[in-house]
Amino acid sequence: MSMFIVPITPLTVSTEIQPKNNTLESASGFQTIFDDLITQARETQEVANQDSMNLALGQTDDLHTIMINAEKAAIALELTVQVTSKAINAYNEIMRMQF
Amino acid sequence: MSFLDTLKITGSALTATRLRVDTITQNLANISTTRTEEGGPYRRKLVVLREQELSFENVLNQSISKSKKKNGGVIVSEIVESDNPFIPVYNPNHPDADENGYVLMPNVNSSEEQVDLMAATRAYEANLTALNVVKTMTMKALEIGK
Amino acid sequence: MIFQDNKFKVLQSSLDALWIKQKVITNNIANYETPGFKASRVSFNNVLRQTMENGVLKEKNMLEVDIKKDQSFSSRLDGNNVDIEKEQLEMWDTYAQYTYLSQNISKKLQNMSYVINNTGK
Repeated sequence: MSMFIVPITPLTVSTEIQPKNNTLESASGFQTIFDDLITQARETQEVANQDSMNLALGQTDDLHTIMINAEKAAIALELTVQVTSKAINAYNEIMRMQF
Repeated sequence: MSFLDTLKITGSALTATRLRVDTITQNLANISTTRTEEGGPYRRKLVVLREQELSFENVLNQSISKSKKKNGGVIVSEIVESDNPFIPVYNPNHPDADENGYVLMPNVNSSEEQVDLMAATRAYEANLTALNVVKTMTMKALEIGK
Repeated sequence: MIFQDNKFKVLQSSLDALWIKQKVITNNIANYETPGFKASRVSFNNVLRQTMENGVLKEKNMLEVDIKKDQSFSSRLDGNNVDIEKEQLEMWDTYAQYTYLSQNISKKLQNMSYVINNTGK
């Protein structure tokens, strides 16, 4: 009996080339980054929430996936918070400049 | 109740082995019992172990229909009585002796039971070690990110 | 986005595979005394598979977990072919690998968190 266990996180050979957002307008480029960050934070949080539910229902088996997903959610959130705070600081710096 | 299927597998083995050991000690305790509730000498009891299938097919389906979950492990499917004949022993002074002075003794062989007991103990210890390993692995997983 | 790194996926897939292997080994040990039981063996293969993703056929590297029943003849009367010493060695081996990899991924996550929180200080 030979079977394929398809893991939830398959290995990918990086032959996929992501097209870069070649925007000259830094403002909208930053917007894209922000959107990505927030989406990422939300998605990782949803996965972590689903994991908690599975854990409570006793339907899960491997703990490492749950722990890793929880950490990913936390890190994604930290990243969003840090980037936001630095963006705000940069903005304040600019506003403080006397012209 | 553990949510880890792996712990359930080891737990089932420990339970089954414990039942086996209990049966063996009962046999040994009754090695000279000539009167039972059903009348007649004590009959040797044996446990029948059965494998519970471990299947990884379609994890999604398994979480929906819990009754068909194939989680592996082992169970005692039944406890049977041995059909081996009773052992006639010449002992005319025994209250249960027949007209020829023979008493029918239980079909329990002490050395056979002790060999069984050693095998059961070995299995129990192996599963206990497995339990500790799985427990430690779980603890390690919980430490991810700390 | 930040977790698309190949290293993460390799580590996580390996942890999944090792967990499955440990489950099979545990089942073998649990059935050490079951009459007629045949042990199962787990092997890992790195395979290239074609998968459909968003309507596009892509080739991906996948970790294949192969579970085979060991049908070899056993010298035991009850037909059980579980080699208890071998199973215990495999169990410790799997445990060691799992521990190492989980600590590895833990360190990576900690490093990410450190970099995020301490850049520009």
